[in-house]
Amino acid sequence: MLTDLRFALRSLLKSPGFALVAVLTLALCIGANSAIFSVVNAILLKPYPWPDSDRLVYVYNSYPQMGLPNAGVSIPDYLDRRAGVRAFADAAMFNTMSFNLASDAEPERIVGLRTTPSLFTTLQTGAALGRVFNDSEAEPGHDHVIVLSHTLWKNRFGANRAIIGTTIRLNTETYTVVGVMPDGFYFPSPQNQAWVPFAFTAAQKSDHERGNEYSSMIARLKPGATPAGAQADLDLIQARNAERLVDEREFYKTSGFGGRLNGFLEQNVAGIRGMLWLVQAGVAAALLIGCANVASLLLARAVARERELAIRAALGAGRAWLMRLMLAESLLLFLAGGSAGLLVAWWGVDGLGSLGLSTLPRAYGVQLDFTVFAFTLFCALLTGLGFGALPAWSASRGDAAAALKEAGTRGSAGKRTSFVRAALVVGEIALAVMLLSTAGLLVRSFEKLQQENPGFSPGGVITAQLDLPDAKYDRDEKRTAFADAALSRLRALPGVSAAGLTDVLPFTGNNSSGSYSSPDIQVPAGAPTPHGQQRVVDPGYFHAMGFTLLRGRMFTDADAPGAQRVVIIDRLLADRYWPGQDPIGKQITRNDPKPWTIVGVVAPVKFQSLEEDLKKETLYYPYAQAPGNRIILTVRTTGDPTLLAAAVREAVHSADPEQPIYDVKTMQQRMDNVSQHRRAPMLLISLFSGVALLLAVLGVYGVLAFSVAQRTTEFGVRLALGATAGDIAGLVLRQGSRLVLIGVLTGLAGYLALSQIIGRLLYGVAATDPLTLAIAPVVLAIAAFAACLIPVRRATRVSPMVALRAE
Amino acid sequence: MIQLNHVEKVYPLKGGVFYALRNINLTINEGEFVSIMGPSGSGKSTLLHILGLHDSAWNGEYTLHGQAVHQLDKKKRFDLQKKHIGFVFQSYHLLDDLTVYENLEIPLSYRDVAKKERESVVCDVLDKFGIVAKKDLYPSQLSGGQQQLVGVARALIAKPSLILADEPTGNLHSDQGREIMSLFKKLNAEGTTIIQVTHSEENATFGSRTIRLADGVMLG
Repeated sequence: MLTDLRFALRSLLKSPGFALVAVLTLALCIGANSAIFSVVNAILLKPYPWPDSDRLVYVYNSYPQMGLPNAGVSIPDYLDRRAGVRAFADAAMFNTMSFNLASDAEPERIVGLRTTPSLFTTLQTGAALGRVFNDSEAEPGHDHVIVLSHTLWKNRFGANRAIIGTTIRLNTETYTVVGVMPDGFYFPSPQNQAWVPFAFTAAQKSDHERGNEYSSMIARLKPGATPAGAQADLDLIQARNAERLVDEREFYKTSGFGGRLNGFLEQNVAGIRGMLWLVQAGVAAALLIGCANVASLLLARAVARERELAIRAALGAGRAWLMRLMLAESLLLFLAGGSAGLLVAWWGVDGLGSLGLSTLPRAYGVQLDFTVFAFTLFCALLTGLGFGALPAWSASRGDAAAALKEAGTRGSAGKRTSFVRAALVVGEIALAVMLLSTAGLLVRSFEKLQQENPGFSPGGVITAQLDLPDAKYDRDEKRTAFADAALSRLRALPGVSAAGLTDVLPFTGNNSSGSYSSPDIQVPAGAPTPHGQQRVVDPGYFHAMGFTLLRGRMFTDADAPGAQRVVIIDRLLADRYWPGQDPIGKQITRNDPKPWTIVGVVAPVKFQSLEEDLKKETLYYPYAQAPGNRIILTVRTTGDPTLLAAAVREAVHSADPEQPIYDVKTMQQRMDNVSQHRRAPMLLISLFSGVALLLAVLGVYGVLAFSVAQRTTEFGVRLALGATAGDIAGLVLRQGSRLVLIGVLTGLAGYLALSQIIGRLLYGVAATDPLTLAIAPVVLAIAAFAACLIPVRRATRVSPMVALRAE
Repeated sequence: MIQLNHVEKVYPLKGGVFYALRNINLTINEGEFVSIMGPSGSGKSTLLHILGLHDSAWNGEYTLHGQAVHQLDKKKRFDLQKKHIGFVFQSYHLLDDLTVYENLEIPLSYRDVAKKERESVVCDVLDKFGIVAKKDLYPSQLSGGQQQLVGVARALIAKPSLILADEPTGNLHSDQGREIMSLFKKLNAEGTTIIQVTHSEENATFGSRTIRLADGVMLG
């Protein structure tokens, strides 16, 4: 084998041009596959860094009949389920917290998690230094302890091992550090840098707390337990509660309330799985096309070497020996392509980040690790053996005597391989058509999405988040005073036309919803209780975001704490319960009997994404009458909003020097981020389809150029027999057109076979959209026609005298 | 029929020019069967290609059927060639992927002969050459002699007045070669002018005249 490889290497070095083209083609294609696989592996395949993470499930509440399929869980729900689901080995409840870490310089915001101590037993991971929480620390008054991430411990505390037992200031309160987690541990994502205990009060454990669903729950299934078994227990618990809680029974029934579970990985990546596999399939198709081109080159090379191989055969080389020689060459090429492909992948992973893939869930784990390396090697070996076998087989079965006799004329290998090469090109064209069609539809789908009106004007708006610490901002007056101070400074900035705040900003992934009622709403028997999205906003918010007022008025400064409680609703609510009526003056109640009077109706806006189907109504309450600690500032400027970032920080700093802000982004950036799961795959598939088009066209060119070279004598004969240049051009064009036509039809058939899958990933455009599907073949046909022109020109310039003299 | 005056074919080389043909003066009358002989590299094939109007890069005067070839543009030369000349090649040059029938049909289709007429002409020729039974076979299914027979039939099918044959028996064994030469003799007797390039003195005896070339010069 070593001898074969030596011969193969020598042979390749004798044709550096061929070797370079083949290795570059393979490097690009294998490298792109490795880069995309590094994303697929990190997001979809790689397990979480906790033992048996496939047994972790996400547990949530669901109100399907209220249009709320996925809600958080309340503390009593968690307690019921942790104790009552026999399939759970353990369970934990948590919610994200923002900590302002005290510092001599700028206050630093870190993301942390408030969690039950059972999180660490559920994840089966202990501390690397110190310990994790014990159950006594989940009691109010004993909960000011903290576990640090390895990264925070290293970066912020200089990896000081003596930190255990010391105290740090978070949100103006003192916490004792009890542990540091191992390097590489994270939950739920590496953004989380600290964990504090979630201590339940007696009131929180009671049935009154049901419905306060601001937390998340995970559980670990016992070995051998199934999600179906756990679901059965969740249903049983719900049935018992419905039996026991008489007042809630009707609500449970009409809302379809119940506990549900989903695989933890599935919960996080289900929304992007289809797109990622589509991108992987797209780049795999590009690899196949590239391999087909290289195989085609190898076949042409085999033909050119027919005489050499015939001499070898005449000297006693057996078929197996010849096959091995050719296969060794292919393997060398593909392995060299694979190695160079790793460099391409290394560059490509960075490039993918700039295309926006880094915003996808779990994208933090994207790297060229051993799995990606093994995948690259596998790609190189598989394609090398698969596509190298064809030329090797073809070359090894030549007729030595005939080849020696034919000596340079159209040999038997030329005829034998022409069908295989044509088949390869047809395959290339078919794959290119499939990719082009998919890319075209993804582009149109994205276009449609971008044309959707979110219901507000994102242009010129910058936003920033901040979390007021409970200990410092423990009263409504303090919160409103902070908000007034910050907003008045923002409004005074040059170029600022409006500034406001909200507790839930569109396109951040956050939501808040709850039930409400009204003396003016008659809910039919059996229908669910009114349930809507709840927002708290100040008077400037609607102006800053460019909301449209349909009826009544916006909030004003007169809607103060002591004034009449007012609410603004959106058109969806008005149309649902008071179609054709004026809702102004009607009343809404929530949580307590004191009503909120409707003073305005605004146009509905999209909160989660542009593709959101506007069904769920939204209620807006004035911040002055319902102030909270979570604030998102929204500032509209007449200039470039990104230039305002520093001024926004300064304004908040002036209102409270200890208050950090984070997540400063323009509204447009937020909308772009939310669309990344469509934009990045669209760009990638478009890129791959462009490469596929180029490779397929090169394939057409290669086959025709080779064919023309092989048919020189034939063309000479035809010209001698009276054929015109047009006749010869027609012959070559017909050959090219036949390949393109068969390829296009095969590609369209292949696409249609997969159209249902692709259709699920599209928005606003049918998977069989005739216009888009017509474009791909037309583009390919034009490009292929251009590729035919050079061989056609060469064919028509054949001189019969020269061609016939070749004999 | 053919008149060559001071025809020269020159290849510019690094050290000067190379005369492939030098001062060729030649007259060939209608109905002649001329053999061109000479050692390799003497210019036989070059002369044949000039006569066959494949080559236009030469100097001198060439008149074919009263038409001054040296004054014709490319298209008119091509038309003249299509009308008057048929070729027979040493390696037969039948088109591998076409049947005998289709090979014979090709020159007619290039001359825009209607399909019905083509059918009738091809059938006549198949019959005349005694190869009706072979009409659906591919060249690879024929012997060398049979292939050359088809090659001759194909050269004749468009009824040219002049057949140019380049070593027509070069790839055949002697019996087959004699058969082809007899066929040429017969065709010549029927009125077709034939010019062949040959190395074989025996083949040359089938012709009415022999022209000898050496180093591009006509010896007689």
